Amino acid sequence: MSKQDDIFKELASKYTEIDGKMLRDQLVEVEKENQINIPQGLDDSIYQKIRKQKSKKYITSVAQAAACLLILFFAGYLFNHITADKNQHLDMVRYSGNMQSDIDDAGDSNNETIILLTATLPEQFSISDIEQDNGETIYYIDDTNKDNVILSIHKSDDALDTEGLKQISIDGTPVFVLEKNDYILLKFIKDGNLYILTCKYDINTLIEIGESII
Amino acid sequence: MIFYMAFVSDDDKVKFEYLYTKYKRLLLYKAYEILKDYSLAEDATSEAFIRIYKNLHKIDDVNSNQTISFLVIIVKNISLTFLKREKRNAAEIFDDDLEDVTNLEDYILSEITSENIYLLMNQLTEDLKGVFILKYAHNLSNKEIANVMNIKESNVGVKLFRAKAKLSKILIKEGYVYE
Repeated sequence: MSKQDDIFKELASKYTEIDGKMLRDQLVEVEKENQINIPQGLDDSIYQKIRKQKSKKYITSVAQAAACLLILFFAGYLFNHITADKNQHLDMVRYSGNMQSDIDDAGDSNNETIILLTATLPEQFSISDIEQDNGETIYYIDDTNKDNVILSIHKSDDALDTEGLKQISIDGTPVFVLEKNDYILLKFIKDGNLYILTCKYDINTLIEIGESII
Repeated sequence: MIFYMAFVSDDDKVKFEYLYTKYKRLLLYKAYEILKDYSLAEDATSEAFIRIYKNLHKIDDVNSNQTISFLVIIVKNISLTFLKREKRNAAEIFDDDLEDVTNLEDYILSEITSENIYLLMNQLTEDLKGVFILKYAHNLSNKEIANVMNIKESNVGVKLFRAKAKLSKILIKEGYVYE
């Protein structure tokens, strides 16, 4: 440890002792004069949150396993569906001589498939709700710092509309952001999906989630 | 019954219950001092105890001045984050005059009273002071500080740098160190 660090250690330790003593005196005053009332339900609320912390870890592992199974299931379903349609088409061609193809249409039949969010979110975030709306999957993400996030994901082959947005980079992936009063937006394309994140206060909230996805 | 299952060991459970029962009123009071709103203070206190639960292993003596200081750093940090949200003030104000950062390697700390140490340290903003105390009084790594304060590890580095720079400047200016 350097001499400078020694000086800082000494200052920090002495300050902590003084601060601790003053806080201890304050603790006595607060208890004696009942200066602050403990709201009803605070105890239950805290213990409930601690239980959730423990079960969150188990749920994350189970969710990831379930996500893998779902991916396998839908991949199998899509493959069978396309193969069945293709065979049907070949039969029609064989018997009717029609050269029109329905195969592309089969791929559009799954607009209601949820796009899974397989990223592990940082600890202060938790998914409170999921909606599916016409090919778009919307995740409602709660933040313990009260900067809640809405994340929408949908498949996209089109070029990203970046008008009016500023480009930054997260781990080498170009990401586009907009910051206004009470409205922050971040969007990017990854693996054929368009991710759009919005929140109210802080761009860093969206960057943290973006990092976990990218 | 479910509450009992949340803890790794009985010792943890006893420790947490003790800390909660003993300090909840004080933490709520400190949160209210900053937020001036009971509902937000309740949320901040609630969040503080979740972080304390996650960092129980860092607390040895539940009655020490160091522990009470540690708990208050956490609740103040959370309260200030909430306050920033409420005031929609995302911009941090940094000192501009830290261009010439002096290294104290060649200096010696002179006699300094407790009162002066207290006044000196309180010249730092709460977030810088919190990171500095966690580093030098509680011996946490940058990664551990990032977890406690719920900020990025890179942010911890920046705040530590600023805290040390500001303190060095004050120490030299007020003659608390000499070569």
